Amino acid sequence: MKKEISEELLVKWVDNALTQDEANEMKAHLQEDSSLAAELAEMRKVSDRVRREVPASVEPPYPDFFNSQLMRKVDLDQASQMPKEKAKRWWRGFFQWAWAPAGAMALVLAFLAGQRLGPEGADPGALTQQRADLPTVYFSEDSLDAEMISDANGDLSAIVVNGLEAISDDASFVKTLPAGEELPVSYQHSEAKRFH
Amino acid sequence: MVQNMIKNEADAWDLTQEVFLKVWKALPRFEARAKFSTWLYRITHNVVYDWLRKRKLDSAGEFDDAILSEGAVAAGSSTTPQQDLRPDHALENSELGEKISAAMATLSAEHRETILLREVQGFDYKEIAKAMGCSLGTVMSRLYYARKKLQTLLNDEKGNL
Repeated sequence: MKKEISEELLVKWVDNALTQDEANEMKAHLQEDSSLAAELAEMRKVSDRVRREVPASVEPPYPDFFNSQLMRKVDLDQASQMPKEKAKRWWRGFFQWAWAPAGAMALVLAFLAGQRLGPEGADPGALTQQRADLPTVYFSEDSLDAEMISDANGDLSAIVVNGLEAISDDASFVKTLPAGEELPVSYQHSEAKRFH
Repeated sequence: MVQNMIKNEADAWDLTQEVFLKVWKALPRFEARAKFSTWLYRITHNVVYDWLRKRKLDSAGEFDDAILSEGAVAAGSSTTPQQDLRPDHALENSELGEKISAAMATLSAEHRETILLREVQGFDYKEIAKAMGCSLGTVMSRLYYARKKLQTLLNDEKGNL
């Protein structure tokens, strides 16, 4: 008979927590089984005893020591959290303010890379190769001399003239002839041919 | 509560500090959807069960029942917040307290916790379910079988309480 009764009903009966409907249902069960009431009454007695005998709380034997230990653990925990917080803040600050110098650095690097790469086929390092099959350049003036250099494939070559005087910074080029002077006739002829 | 669950005094105080520490850390996340006491006992439950699980693993899979009675705080001990009793009653209570304490120690951790939350802490069924993270039906079942076992254990020695 008892097996048909739900555990919830039995527990609530012991705790005096039955609703009116549940109490009526339980009353019927108790009438059917005379030993049930005694068993549940015993169970209620055990509950009362546990409630009375088992302490709900216990003071620490040395409260001051307990509290100081606890505060020390709190401090240690806080200390272990701080580097993480600092690191987080540092990274946040870093990303917030580092974009400007980082951008400048990227521009400088891009500029240097561009300088190093240069236009395709114009590698100045390759041009320094002197080749035996290149023509020799002669000048009428003894003070001048020249050498011809070329890249490895012979696609690009340059003549380097040594001994020329440097053009001073204050040098100016006259575009028109002074009044009353004319260009030499031979020059005029060559110029006329060039433009016609 | 922790002392009643663990019974090893030194470990119980360590775990109590761990509970306080966890509560202090989790306090900003506490939402008043549950009672504070329920939330507090939920944390206590987790700390105690983690510890029990660890002890179980350390003892190569065999749960050491000695943990439960080691350094036991007798029920009805001087630290119990009660009014002073007559010496003869105090002695009687102390003997009964020891019997109850020993009987409680033989219960499974789940049954013991359910009994403690209900009888000692005065939680209602829903609060027990929340604190232990189980269903209401489980709470009822655990309460019934825990009480039945306690009744059997306490009646075994002298035939009655």
